[in-house]
Amino acid sequence: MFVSFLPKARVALFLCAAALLSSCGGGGGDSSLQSSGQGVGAGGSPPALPPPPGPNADKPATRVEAARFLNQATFGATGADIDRVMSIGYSAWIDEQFAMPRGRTFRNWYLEDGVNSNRAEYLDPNSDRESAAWFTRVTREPDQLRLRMAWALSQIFVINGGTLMGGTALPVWMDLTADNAFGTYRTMLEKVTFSPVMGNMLSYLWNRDSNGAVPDQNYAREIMQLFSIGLWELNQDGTPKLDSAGNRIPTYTQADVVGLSSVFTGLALATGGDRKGTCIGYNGKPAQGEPEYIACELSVWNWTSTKAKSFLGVSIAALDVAKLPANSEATIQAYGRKNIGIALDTLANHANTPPFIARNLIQRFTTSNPSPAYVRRVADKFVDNGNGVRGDFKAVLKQILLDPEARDPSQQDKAIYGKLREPLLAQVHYSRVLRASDGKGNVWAGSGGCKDYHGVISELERPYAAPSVFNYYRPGFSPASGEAARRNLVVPEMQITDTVAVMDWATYVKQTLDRGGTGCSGGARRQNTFDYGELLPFADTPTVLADEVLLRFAAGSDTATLRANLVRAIESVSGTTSADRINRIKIAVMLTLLSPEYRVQR
Amino acid sequence: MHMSDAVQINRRRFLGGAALLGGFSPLALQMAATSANAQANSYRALVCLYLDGGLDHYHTLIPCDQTNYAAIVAQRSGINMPQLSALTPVTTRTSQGGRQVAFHPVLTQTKNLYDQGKLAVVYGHGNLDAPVTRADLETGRAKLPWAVGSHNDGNAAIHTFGLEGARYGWGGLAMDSLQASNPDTMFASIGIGNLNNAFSDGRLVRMIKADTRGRATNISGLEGPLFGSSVASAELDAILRRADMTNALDKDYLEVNQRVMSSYRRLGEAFAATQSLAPIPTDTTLPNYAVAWRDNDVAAALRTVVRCIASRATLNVNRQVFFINMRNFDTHGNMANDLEKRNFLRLDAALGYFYAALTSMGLENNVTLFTTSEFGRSLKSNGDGTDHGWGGVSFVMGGAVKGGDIYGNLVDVNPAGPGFLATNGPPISIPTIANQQYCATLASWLGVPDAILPTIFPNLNRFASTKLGFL
Repeated sequence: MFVSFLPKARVALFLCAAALLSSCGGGGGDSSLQSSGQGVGAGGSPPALPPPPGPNADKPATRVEAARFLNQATFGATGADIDRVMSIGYSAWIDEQFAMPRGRTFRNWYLEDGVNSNRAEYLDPNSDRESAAWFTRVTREPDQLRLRMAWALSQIFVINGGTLMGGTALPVWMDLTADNAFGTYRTMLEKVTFSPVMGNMLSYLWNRDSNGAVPDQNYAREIMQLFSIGLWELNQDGTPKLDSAGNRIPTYTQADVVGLSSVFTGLALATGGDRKGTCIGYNGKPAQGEPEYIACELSVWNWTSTKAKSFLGVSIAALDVAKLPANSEATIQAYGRKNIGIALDTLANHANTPPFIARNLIQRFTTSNPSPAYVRRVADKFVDNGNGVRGDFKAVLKQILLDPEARDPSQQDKAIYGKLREPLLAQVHYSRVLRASDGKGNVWAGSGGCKDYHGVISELERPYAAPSVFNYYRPGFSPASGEAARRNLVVPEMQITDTVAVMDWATYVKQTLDRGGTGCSGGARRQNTFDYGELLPFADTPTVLADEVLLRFAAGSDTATLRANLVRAIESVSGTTSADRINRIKIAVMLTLLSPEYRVQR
Repeated sequence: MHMSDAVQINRRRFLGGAALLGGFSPLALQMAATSANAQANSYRALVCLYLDGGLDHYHTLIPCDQTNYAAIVAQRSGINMPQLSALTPVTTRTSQGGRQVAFHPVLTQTKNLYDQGKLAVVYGHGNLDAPVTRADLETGRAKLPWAVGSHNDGNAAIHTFGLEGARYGWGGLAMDSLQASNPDTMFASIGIGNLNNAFSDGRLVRMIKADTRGRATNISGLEGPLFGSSVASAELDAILRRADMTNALDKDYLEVNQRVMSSYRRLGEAFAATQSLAPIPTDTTLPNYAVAWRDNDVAAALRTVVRCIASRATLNVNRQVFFINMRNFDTHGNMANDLEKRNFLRLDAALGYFYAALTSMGLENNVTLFTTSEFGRSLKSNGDGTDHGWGGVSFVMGGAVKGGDIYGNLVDVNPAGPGFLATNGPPISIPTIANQQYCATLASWLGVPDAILPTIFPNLNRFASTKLGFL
């Protein structure tokens, strides 16, 4: 492998440096813990039965139910969205989201709509512009389900920020995940594999099998462990299969990693004149030269491995290059491309992939510890959307959100149900309800001081900048002690909810309520302000204000005690000036945002 | 500061701080304080520096006798290897069969510490359930331990040693076992950065995080009026102290908040008292300043360790474990450049800084730093990097270390030889030392009794020696 054209990229795009806690046995999407005494409600129902009738009728009975749904399906319920779901019901709302136009790309925002868009700024590694592209889109724009799914997919197909070919890779990956959010898993796998961003991230760009070297195994390993099948053979309900001795069964061996590694060879950017005009540059126009190439698809060069290879029970015959006529590059390239297709088909069609991906996605939307029956119902939709299509994300999403375990409170074990809100979801939710904006329709979140990330909500979670391909947290993370440990539960987001993180969250909320959010671009500070219009109409009546704040943020939680706390706190500000009203809102919002009733989404 | 003053202040602080915890009897507090006083001079700490991603052992300790240098260069096609003339063989107490290795030339301070006898190399350790040979593995008499090659499982294999599903790190378990002499566990286990930390939590002892910028404040909004209302502040306090939650996530989220509320005062005092202690060099004329110092998050983390150690009276500990994560050792690509220009410069500067800081406090014999990594890397190049391997190498540094030596056997760089497994692809190093032996040696020095060691390191007794002798 050589890297003549992108030394900066290779330095800045950190590879899969991490490794996570496998305090629960590790592997991607560890499922070992989910079968132990959980999901009492839905746990016993066989997969073939339709969802029971009852409280999960398609229209919500109350605004609280509508808000609870929206907090699972969007970046945070607002009054207008609640009205819409009340009016048309869950399923129609989802269909409406599916039908919504793709919306502007992240790259478009990044390149065209931001302030002072120019090449120098694009190349500025200290700019908050790439995160602002994300914060602006997810906070303010209507295609919420697509964006929330893109965010979920980005936590399975993980890149970790940095730069690519001299420019940022982040908007490219934001778009890739959003483009494929309502597509199929197999297409997603294809787009991921042929993206130069992932090629660089997992070091298979320029991978080859010659010159005294062996193929790089990085992608072969992680595409299996993290993007598709995981480490252990699974039942359709996500529980691990066991051998006759009661042990879990590995899905692959080192030999499979080695075999697959020679498939992912020959992948490279097209060269010279070939790529001009076919690759999109930093300015959204055809790239004119390095380092502008950010949105090319990789092509397969004729130095793809022509040896025989086998993996996961699939064998691919060698290509006898000596017997080919001269100038057979196209034949060799087609052979390499076909092999990659075989590999991706093998992973997409593997029996582990539906439950592995289903469980990962459920954890991103509704609950950390789904019952096996819930996982099975979603995995079944992955296998067949009803029209014979495998891996249809729309069908999967609908099942995740409309499943009785998602909608019907009586189907949930309240002692274990829910998920801890990750810092970014909490931050965006808050920005949505308070309508953050810099006055030009953009939302900034990052360093107020420029050149130093000291204003961020959490050092442990920045958009599309996980520490490694193992994401910000692992699907199988379980705290060492406490109630979740006692009950043998996983709480992925707890892995980045440590003592400093909760301190930072409180500080962030207080400071932004004091001063608005800030970011940095082009060396200048960018400032958000809040529009309290969503809550101002309620600010004169403490009980109403408490109810409206709790509706938007804590729907689904038992808020009786918290409501009393809020009412007392709101009542303590007795004036009737505009400043008094705003302070009442600030108090209600801050107390709510720090409460477990909010931080645990259920 | 006179010791008696320090002890008095410490005791007062301790009583004040512990009162927040609840559940401790005054007698227990008194015993705790007395115990801490009695052992004030016997403070010991282990600092685990996790080289996250899998350290390439052959690019760290480079074979440099003629035969093996030629062999490693042949294996490392496409990887820029230091010239033989730039490699100075390290001295070892045994002959190692004539085999020689040298520190990567960038690791100058590391080598100096080795030469001064303050740093030891543990060579060829890895994830082993029991001793194995190449023949055992090739004939199927022994199997590879689970998930050799998987990052997260490798992390578990050197930091937890548990069965699948284990959630306790050996650092936390070691502190659990020392609770009788170190009864105030609030600051017994400190994590910095806290990425991929499988080391720090025990059954009883829970890691507390220390911020490298020295921030330690209460939950914002609890101190003084909140948006003009002290009622609001009091209500927030009530929200965060609720004891009647039944959902597991609610309870655990509240517990983290409550841990901040009960610890921030002492941690804040510790940071306030050490603001100017052992600063990171700011001399921009230093060689490689930009990488080695300015951007050195490892040195910053080690400075935080220094500040905590200096504050051991305030934090009321006589035994402590620390965990630091240094990322980006997963060098599949661009390895030579990444290791040399980024990782080794920072690591070397940080190690030199830390040892000097300990010496300036007279505590170099009381603190031992050691490195871990989930695996070594494959012998053969993948073009410009290496892939996941098995056996690897670590450093142990401190005044108590019997340094200037390599613990473990160097092997010939010969993929057909006994040191390598090549059954399922490119050759990887077969460990000759178990991670559990390596870590048990460290835990023993910290004070974990011999009888307890097998409960933390369950396979320890399958190996001939339970301690490797470097401490």
